[in-house]
Amino acid sequence: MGEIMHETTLTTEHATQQPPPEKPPWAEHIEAEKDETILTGQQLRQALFIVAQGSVQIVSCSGGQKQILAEIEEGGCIYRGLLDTLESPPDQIALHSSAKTTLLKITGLPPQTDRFNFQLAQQSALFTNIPLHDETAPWFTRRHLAPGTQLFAQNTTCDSFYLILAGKVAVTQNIAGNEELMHHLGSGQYIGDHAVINHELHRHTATATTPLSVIAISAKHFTTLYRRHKELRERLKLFGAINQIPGNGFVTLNKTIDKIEPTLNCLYQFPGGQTLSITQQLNQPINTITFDNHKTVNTAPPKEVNFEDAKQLRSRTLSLYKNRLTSITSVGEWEDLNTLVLRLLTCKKPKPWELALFRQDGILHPNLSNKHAEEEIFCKCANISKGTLKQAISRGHDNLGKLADETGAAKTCGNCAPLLEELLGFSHMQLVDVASVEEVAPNIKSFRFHPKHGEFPTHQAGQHIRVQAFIDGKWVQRSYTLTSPCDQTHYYEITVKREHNGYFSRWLHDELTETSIVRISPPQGGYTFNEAESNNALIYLVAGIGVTPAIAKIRSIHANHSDQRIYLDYSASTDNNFAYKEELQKYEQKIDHLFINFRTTAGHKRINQNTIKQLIHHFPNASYIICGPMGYESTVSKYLTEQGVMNDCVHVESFTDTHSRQASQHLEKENLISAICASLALIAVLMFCLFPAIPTSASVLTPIPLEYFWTDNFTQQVTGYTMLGIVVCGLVMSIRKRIKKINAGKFVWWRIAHMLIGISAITLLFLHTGLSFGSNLNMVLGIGFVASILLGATTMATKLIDLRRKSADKDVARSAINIIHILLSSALPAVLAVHIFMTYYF
Amino acid sequence: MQALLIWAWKNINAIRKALIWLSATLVFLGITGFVVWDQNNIAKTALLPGTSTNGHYQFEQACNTCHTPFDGVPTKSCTQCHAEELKQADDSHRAKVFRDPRNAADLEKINAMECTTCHNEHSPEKVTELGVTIANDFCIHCHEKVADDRPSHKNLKFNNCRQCHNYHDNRALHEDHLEKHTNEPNTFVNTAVPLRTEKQFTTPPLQAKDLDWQQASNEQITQAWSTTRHAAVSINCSHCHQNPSTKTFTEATTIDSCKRCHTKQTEGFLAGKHGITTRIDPASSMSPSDARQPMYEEVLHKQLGCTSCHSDHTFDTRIAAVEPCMKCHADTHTQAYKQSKHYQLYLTELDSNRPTGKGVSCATCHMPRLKDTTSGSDSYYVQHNQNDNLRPNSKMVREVCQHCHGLEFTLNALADPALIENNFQETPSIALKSIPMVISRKNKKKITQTN
Repeated sequence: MGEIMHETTLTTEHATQQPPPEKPPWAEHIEAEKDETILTGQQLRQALFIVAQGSVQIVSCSGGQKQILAEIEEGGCIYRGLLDTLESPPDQIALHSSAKTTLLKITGLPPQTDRFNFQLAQQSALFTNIPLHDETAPWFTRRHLAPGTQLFAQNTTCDSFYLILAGKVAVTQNIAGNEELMHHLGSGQYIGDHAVINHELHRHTATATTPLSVIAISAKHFTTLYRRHKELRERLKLFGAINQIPGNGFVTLNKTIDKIEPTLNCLYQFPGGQTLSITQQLNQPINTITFDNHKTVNTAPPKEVNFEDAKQLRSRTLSLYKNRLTSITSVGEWEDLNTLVLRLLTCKKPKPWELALFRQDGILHPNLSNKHAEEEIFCKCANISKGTLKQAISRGHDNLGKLADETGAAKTCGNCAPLLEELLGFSHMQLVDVASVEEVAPNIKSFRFHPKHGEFPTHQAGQHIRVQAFIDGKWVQRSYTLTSPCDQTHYYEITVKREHNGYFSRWLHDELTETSIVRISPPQGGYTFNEAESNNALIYLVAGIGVTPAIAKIRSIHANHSDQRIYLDYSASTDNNFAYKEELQKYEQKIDHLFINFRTTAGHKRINQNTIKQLIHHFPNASYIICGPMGYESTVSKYLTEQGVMNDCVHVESFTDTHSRQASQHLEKENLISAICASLALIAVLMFCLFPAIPTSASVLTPIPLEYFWTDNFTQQVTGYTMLGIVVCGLVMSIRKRIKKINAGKFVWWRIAHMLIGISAITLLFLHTGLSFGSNLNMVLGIGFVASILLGATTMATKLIDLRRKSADKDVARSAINIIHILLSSALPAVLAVHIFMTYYF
Repeated sequence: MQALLIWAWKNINAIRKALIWLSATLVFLGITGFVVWDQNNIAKTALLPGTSTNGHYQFEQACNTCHTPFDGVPTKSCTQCHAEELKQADDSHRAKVFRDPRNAADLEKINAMECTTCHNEHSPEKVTELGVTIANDFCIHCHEKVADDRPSHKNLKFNNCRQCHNYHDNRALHEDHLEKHTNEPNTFVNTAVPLRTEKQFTTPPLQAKDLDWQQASNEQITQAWSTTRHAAVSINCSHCHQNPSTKTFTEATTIDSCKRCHTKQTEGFLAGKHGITTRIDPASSMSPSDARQPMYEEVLHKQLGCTSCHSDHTFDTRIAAVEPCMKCHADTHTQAYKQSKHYQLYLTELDSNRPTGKGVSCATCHMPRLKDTTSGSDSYYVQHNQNDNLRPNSKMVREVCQHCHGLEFTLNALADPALIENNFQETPSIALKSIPMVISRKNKKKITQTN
């Protein structure tokens, strides 16, 4: 697999399906015998050449050494874009015939015409067999850029996928302030796929280095294509794996013919001259991956290790040269094939046991169930592991809502929802523009989002969307009820109260700008009474920001001219605090069957049982929707039950967001205590680090306060054994954490107890030592003790900071600190035992 | 084989776990084994809670010298070395004093029966002069009302008692002694320290032909030996150079061969800082590199034995008195010695044919010639424990200084650290009140008597 047979797809079908073309009027024939230099670099660039018969090689003749860059067989073509990818100066390139050859030189048709370019795009390796519709389709734009202009910049929103038709693009990345060149891309290559598919920002900056012509496919359309075509997905996956290989090499893709089968070739060239080629037969699951390292000069035939599984029609071959893996061939599915690429690159020798396993099972590494990964906690609020979630998915809970309902994950703070979505395999969040922000009441603002492309789907009143924003380098998300009318597809509106402790709502209120990066989910959930019931009145009993579902409903019936009878009882603390009051009053005047009662609770006009009685009297058979703070919801539902309203007719709307608030408020006290504990422990440790040992008192008559504790034998024994006992108690938390059966009490309180124990231990240590650790073993013990408490306190402090920032990320540094804390704490008892023995022995 | 490989590879996690446990067990066993075997006391060193005082650090790894397992440090550990010294000093605070029921109340305040009450080892940060680890005003516990008896002490502070008094050894400062030596001149005229008593032997001196290991000797050695008293008193090669088990020649000599004749000297050497290492562990010896006092770099590799100072085969005691000391000790007191009057006197003594006792060498003060009280005769021997009269330095007064100097001058000189450092090149700048106090008290007594 030393040479890759390049053959652009432009003429492949042409060549394989039809006999070699007759000489067309715009083409001229060039004939050559075997081993003849036909054309040189500059001539090659002036026209398009099609190999009508025989085969040719593109060779580089630098420094007297002839190097074959590409071999093109019958039906292949040579065009400027191909030459650009060869990374060899044009004047050193020559075309060499390897057999009796006939070339078609096409000059009549300018090589870079739109038609030609479009065909190139359509038949680019990426899009082969995928029907691209009409070239005039609106999603398709062609752009020409002058050298030096940017195609896109790093960290900007990705709105298109680009296929390069002609010219070169330098891809750079800003690393720590320096713009570093990652690689060059040429004709036939593409960029932007990753960002489009993952709805991410561009990771790189792309700048044209030559006159550049690209086809831009809108992100939306590309996503549609991507979703619809499995082939495209697989190819991108394959190439994606290679694109991420470090080393700043560059990739060339070509469709070729190998053993009469259409083949997809991917050639990755490293700066050091090594090449990695991946050949995939398109019609059969045959993959060959070869790594050509210059160090391995193939003089001897490589050793082959085979695996065959006749039943499942799989066969795999590893080629080893000097015991190093140089090539992998696989027929049939091989899940881990992509991971093997890295193995090839590292040139590690496969171990005998790996080869033995390969001969038997066709794999190099045993498929050990990755226990750790399965046990990884995705939802930290409800302590739900990846494994549990995966099982739930396999039982058919295949969307986020169902999964959350089934397992309870993502229901508390919602931070893990993106992880869950990733697990579900598809993220349907879409980027939106922030259109307007309007204050509708003190501390309440409405936010309107416009779609980047097209329109939003319609929704139902009461449904909510999840809003994600890119804050401090992380995606943070919350759910909010839509307040825009149901049939409004040009924008979505949410109305949000600024919560003093709310990370996201504060960000929305204070920091959201038009350039903020926000994405939203499709409308979901929400309770909607079905149409049959629409004859009956709909009664909204809401308080505070709980008015949002009512707003959506009222706006919708206004827009639809629906005859749904609606009664809204809206409580707010003062008259100023009613959101949309004027708008609602306007609707009330306009719509006959809409009744609104604004209730200011500061004026002692709280909702009571009489109100409910009257409502039931006026609106028999009505449906009730209750939405408001916890206390309000429970009181009002109690009144309704007491008045004999069927539970079926009552819907209590609850928000994940309110939950989150409650959950975080609930933990506020614990977190505060934890923070105090951690700070105290850190202060104590600091005291040990900063202050020298307390000196002996200068006079026998005026001892230093507390000196008795560390000078007297008896008190030293008291403090010493108390410390020992306390440390043993501290380890109990460890048992609670490790043995699943013991789960009495909340873990957070266990942890607080653990911290209090740490603090009392270090206080006793002060009394025991008087800040003097002595030397050798005693010093090791003292330092180990203090270090262990320091590490524990640090773990807790960083955890609390993360909680404050609502970050759900796994902190590697923290886990490391915690591991050292645990290791240190488990080593201390041994040293302590020696210390106690020593004290009595000597 | 293949099957085994595959099995192992498939169960690699379990094998890894087993290996981790195995290695942890091995490490544990290894450490245990090492501690049990531990020949160089490395583990014991690791257990040291802190370094020891200057007097004890040389054998701090020989824990059992002082520590009795599960019984701490009993007083007998201290007295096994220090009993004789305290007895000689007529210890004014011996345990017996406190066994007296009349002093029981004082004993409540401070447990003066136990050495460790005041002298605690392994806590270097607490140690003050003389290895005391409690606050230095401890005298107040019992002597709070000293001014009632001695009005002169009325306004004196308790943290400075040690300038005139010592807890254990008060010989030089004893009131009667002070009284006896009032009004003495700084330096007496025509005085000398006692000379060593040389034993008389009747056996005929040995000649070169008498050497029992001729072949091991050479002309130089034979010549050196034949001039010494060793030859005169029939000490042959085999006396020192014989391996006691094989009875064959050995070049290395042991301290035992010297001890056979020079018992008192050897015992003195072994009790001092030069020899204490050898005393605790006969196989090892002190080296300047282990010293806490400044030493010259070029001698750090040396080991201390008898022949370090008494050059072998010639054994010239005059050379041993100054030069060997100055070779190692790099402190200012030693370096200043050659500018002192004491050195001039020593040079004069060297010029005369016979020892006169008028020169003052290093050994004159630090290895004084003491009267041998045990033998009953009036013989003088050299105290080879050079630490014996150093802490407190007033111990030196009776043994050495008073041979030539008046008591008041001596006490003032020894209380002046600057003077000690420049090796007594000037007159003392400090004037202690001890003798004036004694004189005034004597006068008062006279007055009361006459009344």
